[in-house]
Amino acid sequence: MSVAIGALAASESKRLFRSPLAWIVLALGEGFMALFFMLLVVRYLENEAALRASGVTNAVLLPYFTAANLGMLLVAPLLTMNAIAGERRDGTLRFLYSTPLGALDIVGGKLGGVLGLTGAYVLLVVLMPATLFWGTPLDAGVYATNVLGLALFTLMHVSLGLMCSALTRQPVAAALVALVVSLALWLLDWAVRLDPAASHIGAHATLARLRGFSLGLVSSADIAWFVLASLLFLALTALLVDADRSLT
Amino acid sequence: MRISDGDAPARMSGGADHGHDVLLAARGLGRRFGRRVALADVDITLRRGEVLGFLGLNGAGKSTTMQILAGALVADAGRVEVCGHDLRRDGRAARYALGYLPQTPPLYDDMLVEEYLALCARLHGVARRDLAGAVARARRRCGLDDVGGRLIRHLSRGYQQRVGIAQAIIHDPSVLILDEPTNGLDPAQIRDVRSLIGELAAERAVMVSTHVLGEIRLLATRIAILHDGRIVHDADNRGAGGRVRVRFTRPPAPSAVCEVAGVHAAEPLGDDGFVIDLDDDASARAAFAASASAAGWGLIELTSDYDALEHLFMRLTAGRAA
Repeated sequence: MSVAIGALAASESKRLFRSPLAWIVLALGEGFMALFFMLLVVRYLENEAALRASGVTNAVLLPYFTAANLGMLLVAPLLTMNAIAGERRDGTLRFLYSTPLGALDIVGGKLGGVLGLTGAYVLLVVLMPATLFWGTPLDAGVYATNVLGLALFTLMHVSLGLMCSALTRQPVAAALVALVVSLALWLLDWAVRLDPAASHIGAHATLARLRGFSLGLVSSADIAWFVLASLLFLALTALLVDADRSLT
Repeated sequence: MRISDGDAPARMSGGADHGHDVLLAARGLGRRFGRRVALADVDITLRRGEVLGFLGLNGAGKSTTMQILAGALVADAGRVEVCGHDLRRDGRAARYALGYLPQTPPLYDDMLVEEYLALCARLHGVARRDLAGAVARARRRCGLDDVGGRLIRHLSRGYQQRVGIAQAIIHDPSVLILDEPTNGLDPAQIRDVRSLIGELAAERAVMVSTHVLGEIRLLATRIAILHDGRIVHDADNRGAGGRVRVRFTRPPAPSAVCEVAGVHAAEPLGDDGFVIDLDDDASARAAFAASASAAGWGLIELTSDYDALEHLFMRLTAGRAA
């Protein structure tokens, strides 16, 4: 069955690469990140004396990866919105139900397909600051933990996007729901600022979970949180797909 | 569409299982959508070599039934077995043996025909080494040789329907479920699909739904009629060959007609004729003509009752609830 999942993932990825929307999203995303990176580097060069104390890692790398994670809040919903909602709207989801694929296989194939494209996006995003290794004392450890944080953040948001796509037959509605949930998870951190007693809620903010990675710390609790959240969203997606076989 | 006899299809996963005569058996199928009962207590059996014509008015529940049989929709009640595998408990094995064409072909219009067929084959478990052969065979059978490299969205409606049929047969399934397979096809293509289905049915079981009664009359070995979610008719298709209209100058009593050898039933048709249910062969007609002549009834007409199926359908589906 892994062969069939691979075939579905490969086909999904290929179809995404053919979609104008995906190219527009990727081009805008990469363009924005490139522009932001250039501004950070120019600002560093112009204020080198003042920023030298914090170093290029703090002055360029950390804001860059914060922006990359924020960008993923927009990119992931747009790239996942069609994955299941579009198939349901076009009637092809029912075709997948008639194949030997189970709900988990379908979700696995969809996840693999979307990760193919988002993986290419993330690769280009993380390669940009890597150019600073030539000529600056960029901290390789902090760079690596930020890459890991972005990868986990991407996995979680792609999984969330797939779940939202399984909720409806309207891709735009799926993207909006995913965006709202993503923003809510990001901003949960603010609950702590408003009320320190709400720290147990704030601990589940994606912003809070990324903080360690951005500072160069790898916490198994943070990794486990992202992996478990991704698995939860994927399991819910599989349940929604399975229920759809019975409901529609 | 050019239908080629082709080489004998290689047996792959889900290939025809010669160990079972009954390839699909559904018992007590039920399905509700909200408060509306779409299907109630539907039994369907498909045997090897059989083409089941599935008829019904719009909204009768044909597509719902076919979706359930294909494993694309779960029934609220009842069970389906495909080649001995329970569709719910052993769904994966059952689906390997199924080929399904929904009412609207399930196409990814941003894919090339060849890519799409290869994907369908892979999803149905065709091994990589058999992939090229399976795709080539399906393309040849469905007349898609010239369009393999074209985007599906650029194909005409008829070609898209052929791609839909090709995906249903690409893994050489034992049971084929085709929901209105001739939708959007021109008369020549309809004839070719009919011939393809006849060819495929030799070693498989095929279920076909359509609104064109003439098509079913020519194609089906058995006819089932669904009305308001219930099977109201399920019998061999002998209406075209076995039912004849006769007219006489001196018409006898119906009982006298029934006494002729080979006649199973006779119902009056106007003042001077009958629709009779006769053995389905030419010699039975010749024998009846000889008997009528010998009895001095003055036989002036003996023709196939081509409207029999239509009459049956209209009678059974009359009084449909809105």
